[in-house]
Amino acid sequence: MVSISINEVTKTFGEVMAVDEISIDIEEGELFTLLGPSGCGKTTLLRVIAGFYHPDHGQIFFDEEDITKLPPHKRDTGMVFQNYAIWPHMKVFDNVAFGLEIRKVPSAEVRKRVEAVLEAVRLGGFGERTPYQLSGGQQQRVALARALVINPKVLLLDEPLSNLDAKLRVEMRHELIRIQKEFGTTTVYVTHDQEEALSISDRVAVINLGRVMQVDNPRDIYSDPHNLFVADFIGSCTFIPGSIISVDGGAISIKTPWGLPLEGRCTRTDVTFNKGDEVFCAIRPEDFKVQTPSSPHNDIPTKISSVVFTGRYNQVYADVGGTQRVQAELDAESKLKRGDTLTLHVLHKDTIILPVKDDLFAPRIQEIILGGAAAD
Amino acid sequence: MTRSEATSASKSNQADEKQNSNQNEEKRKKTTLEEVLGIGVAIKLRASRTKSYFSSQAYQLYREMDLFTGIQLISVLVLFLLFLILPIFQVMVTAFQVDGQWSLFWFNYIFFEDKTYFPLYIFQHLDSSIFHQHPIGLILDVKEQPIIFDPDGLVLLVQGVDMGIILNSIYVGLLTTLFSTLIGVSLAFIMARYDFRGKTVLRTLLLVPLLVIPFVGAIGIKRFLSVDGSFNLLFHETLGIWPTRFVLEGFAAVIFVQTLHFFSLTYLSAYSAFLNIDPTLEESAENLGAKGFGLFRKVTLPLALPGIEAGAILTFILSVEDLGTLVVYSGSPQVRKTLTYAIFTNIIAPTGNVQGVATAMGVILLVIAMVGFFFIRRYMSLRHYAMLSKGGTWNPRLSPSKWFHYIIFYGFIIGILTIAFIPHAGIILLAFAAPGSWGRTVLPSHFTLANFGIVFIDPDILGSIINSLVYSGIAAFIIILIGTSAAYIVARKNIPGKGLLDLLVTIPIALPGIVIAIGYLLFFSRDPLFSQFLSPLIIGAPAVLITMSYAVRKMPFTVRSTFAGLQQTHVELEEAASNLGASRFRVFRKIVIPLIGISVLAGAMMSFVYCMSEVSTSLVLGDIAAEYGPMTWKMYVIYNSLAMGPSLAAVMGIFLMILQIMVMATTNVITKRRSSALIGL
Ligand SMILES: Nc1ncnc2c1ncn2[C@@H]1O[C@H](COP(=O)(O)OP(=O)(O)OP(=O)(O)O)[C@@H](O)[C@H]1O
Ligand SMILES: [Mg+2]
Repeated sequence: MVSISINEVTKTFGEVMAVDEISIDIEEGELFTLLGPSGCGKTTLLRVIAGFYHPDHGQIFFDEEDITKLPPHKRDTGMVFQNYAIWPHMKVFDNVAFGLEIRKVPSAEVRKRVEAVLEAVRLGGFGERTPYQLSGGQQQRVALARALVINPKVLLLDEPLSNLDAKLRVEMRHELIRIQKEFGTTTVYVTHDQEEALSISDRVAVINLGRVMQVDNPRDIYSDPHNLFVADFIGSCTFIPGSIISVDGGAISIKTPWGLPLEGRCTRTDVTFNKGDEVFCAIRPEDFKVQTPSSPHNDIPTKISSVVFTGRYNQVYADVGGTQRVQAELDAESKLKRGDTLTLHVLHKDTIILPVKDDLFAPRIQEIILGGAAAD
Repeated sequence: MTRSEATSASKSNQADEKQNSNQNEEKRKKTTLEEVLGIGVAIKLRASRTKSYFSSQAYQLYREMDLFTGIQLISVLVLFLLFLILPIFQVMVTAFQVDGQWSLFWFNYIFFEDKTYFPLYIFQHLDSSIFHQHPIGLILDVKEQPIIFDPDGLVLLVQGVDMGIILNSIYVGLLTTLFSTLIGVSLAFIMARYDFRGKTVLRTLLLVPLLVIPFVGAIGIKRFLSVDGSFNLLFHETLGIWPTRFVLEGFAAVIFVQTLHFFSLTYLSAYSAFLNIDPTLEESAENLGAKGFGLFRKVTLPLALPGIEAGAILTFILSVEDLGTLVVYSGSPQVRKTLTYAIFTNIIAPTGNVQGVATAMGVILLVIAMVGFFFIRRYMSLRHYAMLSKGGTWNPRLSPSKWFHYIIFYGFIIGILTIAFIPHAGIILLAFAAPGSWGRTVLPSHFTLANFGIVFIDPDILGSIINSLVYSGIAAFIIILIGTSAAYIVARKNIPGKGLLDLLVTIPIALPGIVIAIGYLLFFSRDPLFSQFLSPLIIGAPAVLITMSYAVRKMPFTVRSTFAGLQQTHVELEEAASNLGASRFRVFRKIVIPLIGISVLAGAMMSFVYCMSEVSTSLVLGDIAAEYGPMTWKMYVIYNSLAMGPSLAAVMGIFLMILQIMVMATTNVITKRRSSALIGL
């Protein structure tokens, strides 16, 4: 078991900053996920860890050892490539056995281990096929088996389940976690599927434009986003603009441009607010309630503009303050229709106040808000 | 830096946003600082950046190299240094020396003193007195007229004019290029833009001229078009269609022979240039009202021009450096006055003694070829080639043909093909003609297989064939080892100076063989360490030189093919293996070689055939010791010395042809590569 330490790693391609001074510490045996939109630098960072890219500067440590200059084949990592990279000139069995043969494992044991791992990825009996005879998802599982079978120090998985159907994906997730925990292999998992990231990871790093936006366990990433990007990218949020009225310890009071007072909390310890500072308040759709709760809460008067019944809940779009659109998931029982006025309630603890200053994502949120209003 | 230091250095990094905003601020500060500091400091900053550029390049080299890549790179460099760069360098040095002293003597001699080489007065007034003082030059005395008509014997002889050695080589090359390009581009346009029945067959037939190298083709044509050749006997004497006997001699014959071979080359390069034009470009011009010839001239031709030019310039280079045709027509005095032939006759091979004037001519030939090469450098480079072989996926624009198209196309193409088959017909007839049976008759009076028997029984001739097979086989093996290494480094390694490596492995196509040959003679005989290579006493020494010259000269075909193969295999397949712990060597052996094996094999087979039919270095180096002479050298020797020489040479020519057909067919089947890979463009 090793821990991985990524220290101020930067990798550029010409003008493109694919990875921009990223520092992350990954603990022994942890399943650590890199989550971010397409093109944010996840694959690049993973390839730096595997040794295929040399960082422009910064170092990678496995435990105390600086491996930045170690060639890939000496790092003992098992990588699943985004495009699988299954060798077309070898049978499935030989693909999977390759790493074991390099490690001079006796052939009887090779056979046993390869068969076991193929079983685990639901490809028992596929050993004699050639890669051309496999579907995309099957190829992906061969790639996974090939990385798992050598039981490496570190597993590097680049969207290893992206090509599987929903049911198989969930199955494979459990299988992955089982194997990962059984051997305690430190694992870096890349995905852009947030549900996947939240459901399997010990911790998640949310990445955007080559930078780490937040590192936390899945629960905190979801409930305590540290900035506008994370709040928007994970799940979905309604953003309401406002400015600070007062700060009283953890409780923050703000006022929207149309004069609605709101109270919420800040998820950040490194930010201090002053009166008048611009902020956004982020509220998750499922945190809007129709019934008045008993805990301290905000009341938001709205006018419903559309209701979509989805089975488990009513997806409601409503206007506040004339120009602003909120998105709420309300009890399916509630009888709502377009044009009704309705007061929504949100607990103070579910009202997240995020600073606008220094947040590169703020203009984008502004756009989303304006876009929502213009849609009518 | 240990890990704890490193982490403490970045302890603030855990807090995410703050770090980001700090960074932003720092960056902002940096830019404003540079703005504020002004020009002087900016220059200093830039200077320090240049310095770090070099050290970063050095570091880049260090990082990309591992033991295996290092060995690969060094073997490529050593091979090319020893068997290409140093010998050519030696030629240049020798050309500028007289008795060990630096001197321009030979160039002065060539350009200003001896009018055989460069008759300056051509450009001055054509003073009649000079005409008589110099029986050579542009003097149209009776024997030297370009076209001679002898009314008594009813003979029309076309031979060309003599302008002095240097200009002869250039104008013969230019005319060959002009005719080849005209024919090749017309054919290519018809093939690329029209759809008609029988096209597939014609397309295959158009590759046939490539099967016969000019050396062999010349043997066939010479027999066919001589005074008593089949053509005159049939059309003049027997049928009476042709009013006179018609004889091609001298430069006219050389141009004719070369054109019949090289038009295939210009055709192939123009054909792929036409196919690579994005059809929407032509369609949008049509949409704006362009059509017919206007469309061709304004849109199609300009777009295809770079590719056509590349083919044309390569033709020029190959024509200028061709020695095979010249030795067949060397009976004509003017043909002996060409650069390659003059160099050839100024070598006394067994001693490795090269006349100073030959080295100077070698330099001139080299300059001509290099000027051409650098015009088409971009097209020869591996990267460009890979780009081309990927492209061309769109549907080509094909027009249906009307009846008059059929008449024009069939008339033109079949006409060209008929003439283009003369060399083949000639050597096939020669090969089967019984000794003395083909005097004054249209066809030989007796056919026999005896010539084949002699070729494959006579120990000397058979020996030379075996020599060639062995040399070419070993050369192909070296080409595979070194060529795949070079292609691999260019395709996969990000080392500084990669462009130079690309240049090094593609340039041999354009280097005149005769210059390389005299380079070997000079380099390996002057240097005491290497001089033993040339001594006939040392067993196998000339064999080594011939083999190495083949390996270097025919390397580009394999390198290209391998490079294209590498481009089509994703690098992640290699990375996956090294990720699982495979060393560089193991990745190469287990993953790279199996994946690109077919491309390597196809390229190596091509290289092998071109080694077998190599002429210019073979003729020079073969002279060192008869028992090591390769097959083409033997063909030259027997062609000139035995009465039945032409027939035996023709048999050997057929052998080469069959070999090439087999290789072309095989490579076509195992790779679905475009056929212009055949010509190295
Ligand atoms: N070899 C390369 N050369 C140039 N640019 C590159 C290269 N590899 C990646 N990039 C650029 O770097 C950025 C990050 O790429 P990367 O592959 O790491 O994204 P990613 O997060 O893995 O995206 P995805 O989820 O789509 O796989 C992108 O803008 C990409 O265009
Ligand atoms: Mg990726």
